[in-house]
Amino acid sequence: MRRLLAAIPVLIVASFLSYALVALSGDPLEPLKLRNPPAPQRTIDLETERLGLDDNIVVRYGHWLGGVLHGDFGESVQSTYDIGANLTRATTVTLRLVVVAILLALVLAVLTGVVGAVRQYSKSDYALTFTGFVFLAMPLFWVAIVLKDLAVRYNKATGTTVFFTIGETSQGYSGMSPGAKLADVAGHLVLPTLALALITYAAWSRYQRSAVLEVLNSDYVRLARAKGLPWRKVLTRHVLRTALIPLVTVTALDVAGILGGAVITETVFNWNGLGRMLLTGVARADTDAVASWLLLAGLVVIVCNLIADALYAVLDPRIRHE
Amino acid sequence: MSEAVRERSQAELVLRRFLRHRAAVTSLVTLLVVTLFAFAGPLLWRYDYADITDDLSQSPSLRHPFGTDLIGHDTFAQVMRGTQQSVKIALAIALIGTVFGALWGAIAGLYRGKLDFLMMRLVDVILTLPSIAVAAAVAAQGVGRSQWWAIAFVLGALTWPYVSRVVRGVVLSLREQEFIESARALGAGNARIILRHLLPNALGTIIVTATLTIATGILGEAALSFLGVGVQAPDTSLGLLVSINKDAVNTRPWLFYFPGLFIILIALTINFIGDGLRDAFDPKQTRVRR
Amino acid sequence: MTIRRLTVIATATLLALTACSGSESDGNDELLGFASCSGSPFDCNKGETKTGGTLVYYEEQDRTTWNTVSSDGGHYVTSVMMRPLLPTVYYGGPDYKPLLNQDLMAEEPKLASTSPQTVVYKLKPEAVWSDGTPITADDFAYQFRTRNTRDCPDCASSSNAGYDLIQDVKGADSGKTVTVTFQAGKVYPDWKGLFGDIYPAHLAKQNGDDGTPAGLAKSWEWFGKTQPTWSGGPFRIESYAEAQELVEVPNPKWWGAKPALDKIVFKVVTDQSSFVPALQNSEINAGDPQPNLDMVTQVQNLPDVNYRISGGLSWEHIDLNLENKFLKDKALREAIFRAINVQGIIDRTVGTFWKDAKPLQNHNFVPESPHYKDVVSATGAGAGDVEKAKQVLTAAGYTGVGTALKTPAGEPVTLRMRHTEGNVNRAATSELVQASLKQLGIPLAIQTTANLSDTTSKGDYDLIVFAWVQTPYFFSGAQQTWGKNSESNYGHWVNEKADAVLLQAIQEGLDEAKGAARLNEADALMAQDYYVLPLFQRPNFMVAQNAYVNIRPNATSTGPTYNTQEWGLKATAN
Repeated sequence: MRRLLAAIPVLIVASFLSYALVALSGDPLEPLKLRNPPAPQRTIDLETERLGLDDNIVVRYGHWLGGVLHGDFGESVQSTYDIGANLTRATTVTLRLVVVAILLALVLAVLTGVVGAVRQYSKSDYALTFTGFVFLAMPLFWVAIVLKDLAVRYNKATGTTVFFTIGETSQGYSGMSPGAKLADVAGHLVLPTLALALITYAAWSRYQRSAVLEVLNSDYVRLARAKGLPWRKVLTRHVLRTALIPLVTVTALDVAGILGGAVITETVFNWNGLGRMLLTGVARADTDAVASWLLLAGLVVIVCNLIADALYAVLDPRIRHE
Repeated sequence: MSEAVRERSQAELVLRRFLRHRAAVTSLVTLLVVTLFAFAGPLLWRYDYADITDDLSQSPSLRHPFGTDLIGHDTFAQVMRGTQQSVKIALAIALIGTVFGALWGAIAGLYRGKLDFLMMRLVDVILTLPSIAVAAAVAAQGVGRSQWWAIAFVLGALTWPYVSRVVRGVVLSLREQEFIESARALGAGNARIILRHLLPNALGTIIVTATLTIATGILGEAALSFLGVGVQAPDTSLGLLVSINKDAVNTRPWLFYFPGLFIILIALTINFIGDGLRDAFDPKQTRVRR
Repeated sequence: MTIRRLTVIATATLLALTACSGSESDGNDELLGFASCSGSPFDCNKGETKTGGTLVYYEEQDRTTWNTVSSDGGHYVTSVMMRPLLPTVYYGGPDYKPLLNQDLMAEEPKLASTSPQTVVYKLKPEAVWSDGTPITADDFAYQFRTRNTRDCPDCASSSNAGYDLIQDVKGADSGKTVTVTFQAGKVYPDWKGLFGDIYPAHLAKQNGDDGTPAGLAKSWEWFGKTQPTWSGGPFRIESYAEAQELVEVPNPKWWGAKPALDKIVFKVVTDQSSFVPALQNSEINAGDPQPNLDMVTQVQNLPDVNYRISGGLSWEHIDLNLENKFLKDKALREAIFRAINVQGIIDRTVGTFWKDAKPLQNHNFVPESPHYKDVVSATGAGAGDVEKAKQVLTAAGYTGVGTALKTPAGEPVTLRMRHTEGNVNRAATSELVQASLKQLGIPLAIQTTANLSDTTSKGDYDLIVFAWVQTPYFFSGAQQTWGKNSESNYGHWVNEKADAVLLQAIQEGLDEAKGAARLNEADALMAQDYYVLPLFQRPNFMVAQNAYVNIRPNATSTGPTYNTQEWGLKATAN
């Protein structure tokens, strides 16, 4: 808890830095100034005033932060764009991608990690290790593009549309029955989550493997086995439970990375989530939008760390909060 | 005295253990070949990466082993140049991240208390933010970002917190040990303790972390290029090559797959080398392995 | 219009008979498909429709505002999406010329007087907003008041060109006759571009407009932020999901021919590379994306798809900065322009997928315009004649020609070229220019820019490649870009003689042909000064599944949605 409280002022400092960096070097009115026929000078003056571009950076930041504390995320370069509403909407979209990808990656990591450890130095261990390393070495967008290409080829070859490659839902989604909605969401989820999960699981699998190995070599597991407990029971009751603890920590630490990965995955598969929101904001030099985005991302990660701490306590009764 | 009796130095031990790691050794050789290809290849190859040939969008042939692009660049030459730039950027990221991160972590670990607390909270905050998002936001606005070192600087600035956290952990355990106390008793200042005692003893960890940072750097550079805020044409990098050719995956696959395979090859070999180094530096882990 | 249509059909038939090209054409009906679009821009892909059906239209971006003429507007995608709702006097037509909206206007607007310039508009009596309120002079007056920057200083308008010269807007015949009078002594030859997107004045009154500037500004902002429930065109908005889709359905109060489609969906897909897979999956049915080689190649291989690449109204060009100490010298400029091979640049950029791409030889008109005249090739600019360029330099006293160029004063010449980062075509252009200048002995550094407006307005370049967009209303654009005191004349070219002709062109512009001839006269003078080298038109790429008819390319800023009421699924007669 002390750590969390301490993080807040530093988060504010970090948000000031990112705010300043975005604000100082880009000109959000560039498209307006480049327009042909040109925009009237009066329009440019009005926009400058609306965005407070003439104020110094500290004033602008203070204004924005004050607004954020009251639930107002500031003025976007595009006057009709509601930053707060978009953050909420985009978060629900991206959360779907991130959560499913994390779950998928966890399952993959635990499975491959345990198999690798139990069958240490077997052919399957080597194969799993090697596969993991290969995924670890791939740029995420590359994997995503290859997956997408394969899916389109598959669709073309079979004449079906099993995999959707664009957006998070199909056209006409709002009019579908609940069952069809679910199927539609799933069809759109498969490829992006797979891409994100494949990149993510590999590192986790390594942690899981060594954690399991460590537990397997521990005295109490030897004892449990010596007592004649069935292997399966030892594995689930003692080994897995203990070996999951480091994985939980790693997962929480990696949430920031996965959010970053979601930006890339969303771009490839055209999701209208946080990724697009960030990139649009960056492209428009939309200071308030980008700063709000980064603030939200920071908060999400902190919350995830708290959840991890809580899970930690559940998994390992020895640990209690100070 | 015979050689067998002589106490083997730490470095020798590490080297021996490393050489036993077959995947790591294979990777090291492969990586050396790739690096040689990137840095010496352009001297031998008939095209320069900036050359504009009259062969437009040709598939791989003897003349152009990796084909050509729209303008007539020889992709083989471009991949060599791209590898060069990507490796350069990744090494710079690792250098910036490691030097700064190791010092930061060592200082925090040595002083402990309030300073440690503050320093580590800053690390937490940077680790809190999705680094690719921050890099995209910062790099998109940065001046002179078409320069390779600017990209390395941005990514390096986001990498050091990882290193510092690891190094701090090692330093925390080292500072309690006798040789630090004796150094202090002999009147060594903090700077001397950090530079002469703590960092050299944490070297194993630092080297392993630095190695893995190179792989992250290669992938980070690629991701930035994909988001359009990395290296800019007419210069090139592996990431840029893949991302400007992402539409070509179906029609001119050679433009997309060759640079991509090089990224994977480099990151893969570096990861294996890092794995081998870890085993070599950390005998405990080796025992688990045996 | 009807007479012109007939002649157009006649020529199209002739063309189709003589040159039976275009593999995408149906064969049974020479007007189906886009093959005949160059000959008969209004009638290609024309066919009988059946009632019903949905068309999903691809957009690379989302709309930016509901008020297309506000500061957030002036945005192509937004205009295309809002086109089916907004009454407009003149569209930009598929033939690149102003096209009268015959559903709205009872007759062609008349230029009643030239001094002061007076235009009389006659609206159709049956033209109404979707709540039954007639479309009248009030709506014209609202447009005028909000955009002249005098009556409403706080209405941030995308452009006030023309509106600032109007004296007043008066209505008669219960508002169905509109008389627009310009200020005495002021001439606005581009008047057909006025009253492009008309907003309902009666709704403005209900939402703030009380005659005061503040009230006007309030209503103006209301239009920008409020999703329209109203319509003055064939379609109205059914639903909108931000950054995803805009769904439009027929407007029941539409007084013209009933639309065939049940629904038009504008789907936002920001990743270009998704266009082809989506088309293949029928997740989209039509669109006009920015083309590239890979996209075009894949579309060509798709069955059942009509496509056409034609010249757009954006054109790329290389500008020289005349403030640069080296480029002040005309001989050096001439040599540079002569050495650059524009055809070579085309062959390695847009020419790879657009076979008809040609060097552009005029700064004000595209070849599709009747006023287009080649003023550039006579100057040798863009010919890629390195030998001739070297002669020019040698004659002017330069040394080190072809090796390391030095000015007659002995100073080594080095230059810097800039382009927008991430733009593949411009990067290629810069590289090719670099190669050409190397042959003259000039080292050219290439530097990207992330902020084009900043770079151009500060003059932070020696050479720069970027694009201007033309409209069918060309006079103010010419004045704006090439006038000696204009802010958009980034390279600070001044030629008193040419400037005088330019002003004269505008004064005489109410006679379009005469004014255009003057523009070309001024342009020829500019070409001789080797200031701006036009490269090529950016291609316009129109794609539609061939199940749909009457949807056709329109490369102007109006875009293909000018005739959505005619779009429909092909009637299945055969």
